[in-house]
Amino acid sequence: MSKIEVDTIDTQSSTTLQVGSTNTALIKIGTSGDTVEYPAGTTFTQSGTQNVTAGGAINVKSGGSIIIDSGAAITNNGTATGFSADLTNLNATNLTSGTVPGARFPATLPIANGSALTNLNATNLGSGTVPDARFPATLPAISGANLTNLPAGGITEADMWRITTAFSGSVQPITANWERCDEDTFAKIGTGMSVSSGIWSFPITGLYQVVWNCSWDLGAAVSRYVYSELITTNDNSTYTERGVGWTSIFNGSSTTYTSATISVFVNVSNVSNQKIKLGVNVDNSSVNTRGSSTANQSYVSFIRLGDSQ
Amino acid sequence: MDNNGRPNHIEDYLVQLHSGQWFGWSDSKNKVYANLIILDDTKSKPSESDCTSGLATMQSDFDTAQTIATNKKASGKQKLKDLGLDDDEIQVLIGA
Repeated sequence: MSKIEVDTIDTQSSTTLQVGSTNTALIKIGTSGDTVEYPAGTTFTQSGTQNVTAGGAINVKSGGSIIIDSGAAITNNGTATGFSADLTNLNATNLTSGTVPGARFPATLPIANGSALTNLNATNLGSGTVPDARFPATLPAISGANLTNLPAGGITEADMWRITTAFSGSVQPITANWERCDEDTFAKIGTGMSVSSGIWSFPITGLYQVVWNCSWDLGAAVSRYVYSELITTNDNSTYTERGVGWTSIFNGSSTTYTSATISVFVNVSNVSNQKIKLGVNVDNSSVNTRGSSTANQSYVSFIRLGDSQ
Repeated sequence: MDNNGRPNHIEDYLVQLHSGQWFGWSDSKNKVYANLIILDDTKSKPSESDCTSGLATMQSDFDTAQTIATNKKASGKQKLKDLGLDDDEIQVLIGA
């Protein structure tokens, strides 16, 4: 093997400096640890496809770079590794196939306009409350068969009580032996009325219809009058007669019966001050006001028709 | 009392004993003497025997009154017949 040792090899007349020719099997520049330098401004020209043989590599040292000019390209026909952390200025427009794995999205998605999202599955709404404003003014026509806890069709209070035990003579007000109807055919709506010492209190304000029905009997005698009475107060003190149900009992040679019904609207705007009392007055003190704990004989009902007026 | 007005419960006796709401029941669904309560402190609780005997007296009085009324109606009707009225005329007059 011959050897030429010189400092500079140059061309004679700016023509191509060719190393190697037709029969050259291998041109080797330097040895391990040497540096082959292309000074600034020089151009490394390739006239075709050049290969890095198996086991070889192009190693760009720290601080160095590979610059791809406009119009140039890098073609990857194999596997490119080691780029994931250092690639910058990537253009997502070029993601033309495949699926971005779910793990690549952050737990908290960035704030963006979701107006174009379609085919969303409401089953995945796992928490939170849909704001009222998200419902249309006119709800879609769907079956309400499974809706529960709906208001009672506008009637929010309805109640019924009765006298359980008969008594004779005039009583005003009737203070004792009241019971809320309790058979299985009855159920109150709402809170219901309350009564204490014969004074009835309304649960909430509203316009109420009060129906007070009394039944009486008298054995083989006359009572020129018997009447039921409903009185109201607006100041929880002074009561005024608002309803009277007059009737009488003739001598039917045996026990004779009669009844009277009063219906009064009571506009309750203050439940503390507006109350009622119920009573009966009879001409013959032997007249019995009838009572029962199993069937309505002398009873009162309260139905709230709407808001106070 | 029953639908004919005949007393059939001690409540019928108690009602006519005093005026007003002087008594009640601790269990209004079970109106027996043991459940009788007095609401008016000025009234005393009658004994059970007073109640049962009082009711029996009321029933007897009722039955007697019914018998008397029935008899008087029959005798009155007969007297009208004796005066020459026929049954139709009597029916129009007294309804029986």
